[in-house]
Amino acid sequence: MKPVVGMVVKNKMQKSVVVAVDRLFHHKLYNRYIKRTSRFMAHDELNQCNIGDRVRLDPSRPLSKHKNWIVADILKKARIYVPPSVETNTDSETKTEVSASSS
Amino acid sequence: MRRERDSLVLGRVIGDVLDHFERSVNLIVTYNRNNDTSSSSNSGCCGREVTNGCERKPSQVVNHPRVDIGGCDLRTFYTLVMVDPDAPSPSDPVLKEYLHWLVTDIPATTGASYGQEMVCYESPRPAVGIHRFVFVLFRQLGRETVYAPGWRQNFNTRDFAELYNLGDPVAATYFNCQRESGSGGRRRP
Repeated sequence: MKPVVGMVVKNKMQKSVVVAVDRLFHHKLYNRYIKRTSRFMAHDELNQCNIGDRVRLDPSRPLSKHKNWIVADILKKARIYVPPSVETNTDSETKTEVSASSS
Repeated sequence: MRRERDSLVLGRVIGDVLDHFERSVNLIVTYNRNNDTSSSSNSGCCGREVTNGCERKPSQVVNHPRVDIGGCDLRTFYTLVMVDPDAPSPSDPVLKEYLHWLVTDIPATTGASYGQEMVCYESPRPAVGIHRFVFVLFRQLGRETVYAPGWRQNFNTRDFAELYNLGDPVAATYFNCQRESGSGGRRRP
């Protein structure tokens, strides 16, 4: 069975994520490949997934009304921008003050 | 056969309740549409056969089902167990497995009505989440070799089979059941 791999697009729920799975299919008339996206709700037991993570899904029994998949593996974590913390800002300010006083 | 095995694995019946086994006997579980438990000749045609992973409402499974067992030798006896591995809720199954029905000494080629009902049928009433209800069939070593457990909750099918030397299951099937939604509308205090 072909593995179901997709991107996490929503993780606001507890222990649940929405995963968008892209697929390509060939259109016979236009002789072009068309991309379609399916959105699956999946069970994330440890709340590990973030938006943008690439995950592999395994089918499971119905876990809720819309949830029939389990996050089997996080293939690639999303690169999340972390702004410089307040501590680093204060450190840089003190350094500039020290340098100014020494000069 | 392969598809049936896959559905039991997919539903985590194999793993949560049973180990891998080879199906050697036909097991047909049928709930009557009109909740009539009489084994009339036409009850089979108007019944709803349980297939692996099918959905049943609590109102459809109030009375015990008609169970038909295959085989060829009337001197072979079987034990039928019905358990709920998701009691009281699938996310926290502290009562798993909950025993709903236990019938022993069922002769081959007959049904559960010909056996001895050790634990009477308790209709499924799932409160939270989607519950699996699993029917497991074991081949007995002899007649009157299986006895009822002391209580229904925290029943373990594997330990039960080991205790009475039942060996691996010969057939299994399961269905899903969840609480029926109310009539809707705003609740008044």
